[in-house]
Amino acid sequence: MSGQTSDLPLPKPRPPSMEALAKARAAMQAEAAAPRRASWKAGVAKASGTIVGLSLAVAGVLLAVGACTVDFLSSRAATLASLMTVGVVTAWASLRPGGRVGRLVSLGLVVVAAVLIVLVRGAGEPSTQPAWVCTASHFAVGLAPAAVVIALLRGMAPNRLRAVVAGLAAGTTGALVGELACAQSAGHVAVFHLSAWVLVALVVTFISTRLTPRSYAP
Amino acid sequence: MERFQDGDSRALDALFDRHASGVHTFLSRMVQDATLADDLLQTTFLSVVRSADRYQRGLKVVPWLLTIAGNAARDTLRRKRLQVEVMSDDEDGALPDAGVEPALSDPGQRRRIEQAFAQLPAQQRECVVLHKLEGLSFEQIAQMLDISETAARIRAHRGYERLRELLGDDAS
Repeated sequence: MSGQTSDLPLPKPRPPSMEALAKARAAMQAEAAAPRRASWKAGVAKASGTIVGLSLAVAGVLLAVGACTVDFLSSRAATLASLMTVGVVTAWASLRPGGRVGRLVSLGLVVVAAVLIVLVRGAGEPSTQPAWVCTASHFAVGLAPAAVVIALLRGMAPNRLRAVVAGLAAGTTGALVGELACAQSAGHVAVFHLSAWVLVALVVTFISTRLTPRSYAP
Repeated sequence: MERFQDGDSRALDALFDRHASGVHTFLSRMVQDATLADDLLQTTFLSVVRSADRYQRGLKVVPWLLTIAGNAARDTLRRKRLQVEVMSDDEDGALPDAGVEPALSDPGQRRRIEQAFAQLPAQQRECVVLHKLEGLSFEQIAQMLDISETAARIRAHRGYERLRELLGDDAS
């Protein structure tokens, strides 16, 4: 390390003082003696569990109050499964060590899923609710997984692409709720559902890149 | 690192003994501030302990440590808005305490190089340090910085171009 083998004749910086080394070593040893934190895999499980669990809970409540039926859910099975898969894959891609390619691929999956939920919707049915209710409710539902991924992102080096993907993972919860509770048209989904998804991603990116991380590991 | 992952706490001390000085040298070059480099050395090894599970077995330890150190340095520079300060003539060319040993020969030339190096944007300086001084390939640098290999090449190339501009033919 720092072999100074180049033709760039930079002077070698002064070595660290004994005091600085002792301080760093003591801090490191104290940290090593503390209980181990949960692994990144546990973090992925936590984020995925929040996204899927919250969606299932919403589905359960909607079924319980009669706001949707099993037949309605069955008709949306393909998009629901796609969104759940995208939520889990993006959560994994955003939290795993390294893996820039995986994050780019997961961004592509999000785009495919977004196009899918718009295209399969068709003409839809009119609603008595204002259209923005979907955006607000999807955004609100996405805040819980957003808080989870923001907390998990503090355990690694700040990275904008990672934060965007984590935000999109959190945002899939709102998109799932849209498939469970909304029967409006493709245009409505494209504007009012996807905007909530993007909004959650922006909030996660904005907050997570401003918090001081607990670790700078990739 | 793998021994530490397996629960051998002595391996951590061995890791520190072997690499702390090199990490500090890298940090000093990145932030151009010896005191800040001391703090970042601690931050780097705290991150190693906190994120031991993020180390992927089989990876070379040195690039992983430099990735963590580089992330910490970049984030700290960003937060402190310590973008490289251009030395002004009214400061009589005085350098901040960059923790650099006195020049061994041709002090004027050494100082010019230091000043030119300090004027590089942090991203370019990091790529130049990693490529030229640490001897890493652009592929390794790209993995470390989570950028494409082309982006790593461009950053380093711009850094060298800027050094040439600042130093004339001396740096070529």
